[in-house]
Amino acid sequence: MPGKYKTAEQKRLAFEKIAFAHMDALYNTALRMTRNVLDAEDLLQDVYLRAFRFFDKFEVGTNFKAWIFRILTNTYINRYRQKIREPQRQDFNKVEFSQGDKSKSRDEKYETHYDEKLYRDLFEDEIRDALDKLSYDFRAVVLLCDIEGFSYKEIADIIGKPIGTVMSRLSRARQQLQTHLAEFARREGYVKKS
Amino acid sequence: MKSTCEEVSDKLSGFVDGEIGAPAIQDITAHLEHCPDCSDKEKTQRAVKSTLTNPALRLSTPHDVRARLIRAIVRQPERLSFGALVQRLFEFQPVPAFAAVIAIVALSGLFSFWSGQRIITNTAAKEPLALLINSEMEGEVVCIDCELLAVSGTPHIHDANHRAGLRCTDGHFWNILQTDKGTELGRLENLMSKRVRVKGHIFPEQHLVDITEYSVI
Repeated sequence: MPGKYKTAEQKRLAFEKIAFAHMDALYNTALRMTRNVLDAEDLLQDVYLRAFRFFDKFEVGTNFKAWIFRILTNTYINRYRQKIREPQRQDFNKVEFSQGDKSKSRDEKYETHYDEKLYRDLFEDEIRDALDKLSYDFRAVVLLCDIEGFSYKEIADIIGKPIGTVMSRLSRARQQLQTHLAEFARREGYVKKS
Repeated sequence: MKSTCEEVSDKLSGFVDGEIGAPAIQDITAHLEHCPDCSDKEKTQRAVKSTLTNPALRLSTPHDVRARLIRAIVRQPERLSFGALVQRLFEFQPVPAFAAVIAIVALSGLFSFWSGQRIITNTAAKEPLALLINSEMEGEVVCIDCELLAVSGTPHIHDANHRAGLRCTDGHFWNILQTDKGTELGRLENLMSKRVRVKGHIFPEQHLVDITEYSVI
């Protein structure tokens, strides 16, 4: 076997030791990328198999998490982005509520514009829903920065874009996210009152 | 230099995350003081970021997903890189390749005989164990719920069915992953309280075995 590992067994053990620690992070990100449990599992498996195949090329001591996340985003873009249709997310409850919202005065709507407390009671499902509404480019930077805690430089490496792009995407993504979150929060408040 | 609102709002994430240099910080701070719109946006950045730190957003990888993934990796070497390598060798150097294959088969036979002797009986290892692939384990088939009931002495939820698990010689309990073999072992009533030797993948952290083979001893 070519490369730095003498046997396949050695390579596998070295790989497991370093790669399995990131499984949950990869799984969560894959899940939010594909928005679907089955595709997320396929993606996760693809990522691990690719990472394992190219593990000889990984330089020990460098940032493994960023390395395997780069494989994740590349794999997703190459294989899944075209294939997976955007899911039809037309929920009739939502339609009704958002129409009901329009009857509220503008002031009421924007009253709690950026209040942190407002989001504290949101369920994780609603946060996930709000994330899922973002386009892939925006979702990716939010997942990598706010959930996985990568630095802008690492994110730039992972998605292959300059730091400036990362920054503006992230700014806009959070702005968009807040409109979706505020919508959920308002709906919550609306339901509680009645 | 004064920035426009558009320039500032595109840099707000960097401002909040501490990812921009001192001149840019000064520039944005000055802008925010007299611009309520951008100031609102800045608060939004912070609020959204803190919302996303909710730990409930993080799921752990389901056991079955984990198990299937590990199987795929275990199968990987001979199927892809090794297979391709052998094929290429045969194309260019048929005779030495043939001799090498015979040598490898003989050696790997020896090796697998030797490594097959590793049987785990003491599972209370001091150091955290990595995942053990294709290992063996010996233990008694018990119902985990009944055993927990006996140990704690307090009422414990017990399903109508027993839930099969393994008790190793050191008294540790191991759950059995519900794969084909795992479920089969659990269904066989006559295996209860029998000592079995199982082969499969062992997840020390989760105290879980993914059984691929088993035999009664």
